[in-house]
Amino acid sequence: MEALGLGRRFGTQVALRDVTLRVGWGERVAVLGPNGAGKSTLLRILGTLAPPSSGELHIAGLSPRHDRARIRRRLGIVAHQTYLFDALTALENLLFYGQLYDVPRARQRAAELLERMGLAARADTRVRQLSRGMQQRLALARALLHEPDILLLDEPDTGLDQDGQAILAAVVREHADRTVVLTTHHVERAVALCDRAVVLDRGRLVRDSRVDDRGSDAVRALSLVAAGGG
Amino acid sequence: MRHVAALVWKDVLVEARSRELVAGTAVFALLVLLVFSFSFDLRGPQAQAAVPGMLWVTVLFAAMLGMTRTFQSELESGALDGLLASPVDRGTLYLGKLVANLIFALAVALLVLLAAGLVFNAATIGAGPLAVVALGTVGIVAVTTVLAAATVRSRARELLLPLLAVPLLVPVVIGGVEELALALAVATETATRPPWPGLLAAFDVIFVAAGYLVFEFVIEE
Repeated sequence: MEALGLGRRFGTQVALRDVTLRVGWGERVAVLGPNGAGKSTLLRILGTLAPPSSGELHIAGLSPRHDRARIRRRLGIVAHQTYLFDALTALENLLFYGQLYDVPRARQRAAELLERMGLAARADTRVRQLSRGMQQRLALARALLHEPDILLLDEPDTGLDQDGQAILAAVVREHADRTVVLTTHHVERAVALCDRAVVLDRGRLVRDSRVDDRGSDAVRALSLVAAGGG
Repeated sequence: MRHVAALVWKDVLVEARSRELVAGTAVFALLVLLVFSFSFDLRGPQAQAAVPGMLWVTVLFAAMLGMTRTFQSELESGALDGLLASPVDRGTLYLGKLVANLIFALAVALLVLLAAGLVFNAATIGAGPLAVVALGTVGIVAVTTVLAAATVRSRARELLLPLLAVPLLVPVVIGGVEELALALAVATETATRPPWPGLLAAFDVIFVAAGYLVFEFVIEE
């Protein structure tokens, strides 16, 4: 995944400025930064949901300008919103998305994912009747349904309890060749899950470093930068 | 085709459970018909000539009201992004939404015809009136589905949609009123009369095709 000089404006507001980021296959990258730093905007652009105002983006050697459908087939996205239909049940949501992504044996795959997310007993419960944490688990199942090789996770731990966070951690770590880009406010979690951390501040990429040291000093130093203080 | 079927199934299931769109729009349409019946003295053959116009105004207003909701709930829940993040071609998303909206709009139009028959004492149920209303409804839904997508991210969408759609739909209303008048036997065929059924069908084809082609540009951010 290669983003070169990405910029994004909303009228006079600049959300991203000249962000260059290269993510290799199998890399797990945490995007940190204070509120309004541009993390979600960056993920929306990487997810082909919003075009950049400037700069170039290539995903798996493909350009979103010409190969959007092929790129989208390889992406699994968990965003702030769950992308789920409230009136449908958990299983119906997965079957619906399974059809959109042409997932073979979608019912079996959906059942496996519901089991894995601890939602098997809730398969026939409508989404609006699930708790926020359960909805987030289901959103994770939806993102994994078509076995994407790139996962884009925008604050995926929102509403998750301890079990949910353990599932999330397992999902992030499970495939050595799956690329993961995740945003979070929790530096400890980013350090624990990712090999690399980049920090955005007011739309600029201000730090890009490998996470070799997972000790408390490293967490503290990264927290300082991510809070906009360093 | 499989994707269109999945999208239609999803919308029909959501509507069957939430009953937001059809029930609300149908009640609104019945209220408009009642207002017309209170406002005009519809006794006598001259007054009956106004029935096709009142019927189309009712169908058009009801469609406008329903279509403002068509992408709104998906935008609010974030499910619209889920559809847009999928690899499904945008033209296919349009066709799925078009077919689902058409099912809902035709259900409401059928109810309007039934109610109009009772309120205005007109022979609104028959192959002729049904065919004309179906032809016109396809055009209305084809146009409003695209425009609803174009305006869904605007704060003034409830105002913008009719402002943009009604001028485009003038040919449908004129043709629909003329043809319905003929079907209800409140007008007679003349040699100079334009071939409205053909024109309505052409309008439908043109706007469905245009919607399919431009949907990507109106729905993407």
